[in-house]
Amino acid sequence: MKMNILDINKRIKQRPPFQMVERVDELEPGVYAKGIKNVSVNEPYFAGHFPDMPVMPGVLIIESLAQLCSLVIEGGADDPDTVYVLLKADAFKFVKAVVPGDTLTLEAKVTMAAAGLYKFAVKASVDGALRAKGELSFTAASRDKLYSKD
Amino acid sequence: MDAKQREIADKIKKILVENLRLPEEDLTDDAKLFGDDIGLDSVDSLEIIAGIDQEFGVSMMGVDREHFQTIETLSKYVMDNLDK
Repeated sequence: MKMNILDINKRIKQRPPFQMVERVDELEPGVYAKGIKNVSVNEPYFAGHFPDMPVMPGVLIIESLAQLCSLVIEGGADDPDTVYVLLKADAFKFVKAVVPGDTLTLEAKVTMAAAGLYKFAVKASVDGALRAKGELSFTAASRDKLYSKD
Repeated sequence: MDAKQREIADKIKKILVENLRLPEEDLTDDAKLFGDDIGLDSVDSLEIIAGIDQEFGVSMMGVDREHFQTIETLSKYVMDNLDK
């Protein structure tokens, strides 16, 4: 399955300037996805990170991968009271900087899905060369619980 | 601990080593998983629940925390609830 930006908008709630998957080239729900994010010098965070040396922050590479993962999780948007939240970011490596002009190819592969927990092996590459990789875990949570104090 | 529980306990230990990257030598049967011994937290407990669900088909969602104290208590709960 493939998705353009309009299809993606139906599935995830993030919007510019915080939308970090622009096209999905492969999607097998519950199993795997591959998508892209284009990195433009116009992105707002480059104004400060860094003024003379625009480098995409590693945490935003993680965010891009996390958004792709949320597209893989089946039925993630079906139940309005249940949301999948990022639980854990493990073993991340940032092999080489991501800079304006790069097209990030994002990949997310489910390594475990049980008891409301999804675990993914994720990686980001540019022109076939690895830039970042790690593991991301998500869990189902009720929307109300996110805003409770305990 | 009988042979059946021993087998379950060893599988749970393997889940903890592989999924939570804990050093195997620290994981004695009676080490306090969430206390001073190992120091796990609520995020880890979700991974334990998922690992046990996947390995044994036993759901520990919402189960009392006393069953999560040690590998021994976890293995006992799993043994008592297999095939239920």
